[in-house]
Amino acid sequence: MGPRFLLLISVAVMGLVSFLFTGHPELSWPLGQVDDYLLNILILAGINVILAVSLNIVNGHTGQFSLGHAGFMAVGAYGSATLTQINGKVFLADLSFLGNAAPTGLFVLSLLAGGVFAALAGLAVGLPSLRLKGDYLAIVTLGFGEIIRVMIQNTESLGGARGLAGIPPHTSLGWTWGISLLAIYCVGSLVNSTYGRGFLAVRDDEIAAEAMGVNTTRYKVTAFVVGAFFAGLAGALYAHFIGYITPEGFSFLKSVDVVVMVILGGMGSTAGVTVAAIGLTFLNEALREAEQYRMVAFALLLIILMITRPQGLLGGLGRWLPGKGGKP
Amino acid sequence: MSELLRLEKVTVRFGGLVAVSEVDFHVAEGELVGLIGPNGAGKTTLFNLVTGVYTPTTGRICFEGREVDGLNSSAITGMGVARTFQNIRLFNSLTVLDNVVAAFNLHLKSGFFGALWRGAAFRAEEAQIREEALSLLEIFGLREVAQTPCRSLPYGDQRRLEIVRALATRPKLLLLDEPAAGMNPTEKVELMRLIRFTQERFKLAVLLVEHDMKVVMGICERIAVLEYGRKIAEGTPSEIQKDKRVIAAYLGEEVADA
Repeated sequence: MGPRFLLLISVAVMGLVSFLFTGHPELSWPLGQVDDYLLNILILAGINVILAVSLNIVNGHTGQFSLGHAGFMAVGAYGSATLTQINGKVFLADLSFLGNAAPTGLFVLSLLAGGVFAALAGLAVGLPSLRLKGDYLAIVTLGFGEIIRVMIQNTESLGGARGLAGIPPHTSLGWTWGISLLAIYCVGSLVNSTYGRGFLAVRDDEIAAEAMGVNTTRYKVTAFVVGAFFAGLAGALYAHFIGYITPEGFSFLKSVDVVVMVILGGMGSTAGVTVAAIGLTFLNEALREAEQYRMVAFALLLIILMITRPQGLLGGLGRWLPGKGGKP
Repeated sequence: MSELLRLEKVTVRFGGLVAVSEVDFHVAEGELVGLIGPNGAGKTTLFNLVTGVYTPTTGRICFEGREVDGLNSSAITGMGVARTFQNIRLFNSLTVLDNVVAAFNLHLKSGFFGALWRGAAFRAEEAQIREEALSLLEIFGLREVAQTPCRSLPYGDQRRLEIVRALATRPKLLLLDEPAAGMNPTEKVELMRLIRFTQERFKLAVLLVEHDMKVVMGICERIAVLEYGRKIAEGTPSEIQKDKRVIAAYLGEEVADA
């Protein structure tokens, strides 16, 4: 199975599901009606997969420690909501030639807009800050995430601290998992190529990478922009799933959640972080009864993992795509 | 033979320390030049200047007539300067093959979007790079271990892999920083053969920093000697061996009435 097959599947899933169930988000599972609760968790899991896989290209493959993923997610969420919620009526009128599919068309545009806005934010943050290394970069990206949040909080047109309600619920299981597969495909393809060996070279030894002709700055910024783009998509999906977003939802803790998924799954292992993202989403729900002790369970899980498998669940087990020559 | 690398009155200061002072030096095409000197003489600093890790405080460095100071390391590598490191710096999480493949990055035609789209041109190029990398490894006797993690190679093989990786960037000038360090006498003889072979096979100029006098005297056509950041002598191996200042630098001055 070639990696392009995955691309094909992801596009097919998105296309089929959105075509069949336009205007019926409750029917989004191709097999028909699914338990609402399970459906919601599956969608959340998909969004988390996108976040974890996209952070992995920065933190895992390129070895840069970013703590600002929630910031890019916020840019994507609010960026897309400006199209569908704030200016929704205007844009829908513009798209009226699409007939019944107009809301879906606008949703697709808003997803793209969310991704592109976030990617631009990634470029703006990445260019100056990627000269820094390790802890310093972590602090700068953390600061950036907070700046975004506070800016949104103080922007009345975006709802300020009250948040933005009434975002049309377009996000379906098909969209979410279609884009998840797309993210997995993109990150996997990028890394598993001669071009992509550059990311790994930067992670392993920056000085040697430079000396072998790898432009480390360009690679780091590229990783950052790609990561931000998909975080933006995830944010847009999230906004159109929950229907109501507040700046608080994109706090530092959300970034930490994603970092935990990446560390747990294994830095640089796409399969690992995918499994971890799904697993942690379900674990989070399973422990909902236990309320605040949830965090204790997560912390314990991390500690146990660090002692028994410091490289993460599937770290160091070889990369996912395309399977050949990928053994470590 | 035309000139490849030229240093004109190159000086670099780190605070009050003058690491390299007014050094004039050149390497011609296809030449094998040695650079020696006591510890701390500034040999590795000179390498770092040529490869763009440091920028000279004053003076000029030209490669093929173009000034290189101020450029990124990667840009200088792109012009045709490759190096190995005194302390081996391989990409430790990668296989032997991938270490070499990573260095092909420089001459890659399909970039970011090629890797995403994976079209026919991309796949052809990937296959070709893999083939080239494997044949380079073959020349240096590392093809058998192409799929093993590079950190599990023995020390001597890691040194050889560094040379292979540097060659993958298709250099015109290869800088070797103490390639014989930590090798036993047999390995050193093998290394000398390897350096000569590389120079002839790939038609390279080689600049060699080395402490082992047998290696340096055995293969270099010309030798420059640094002491306290200054060039104190330059000449053929036999000239250098007789040079009073060089002997003094290594063994100390003769004292008149001891």
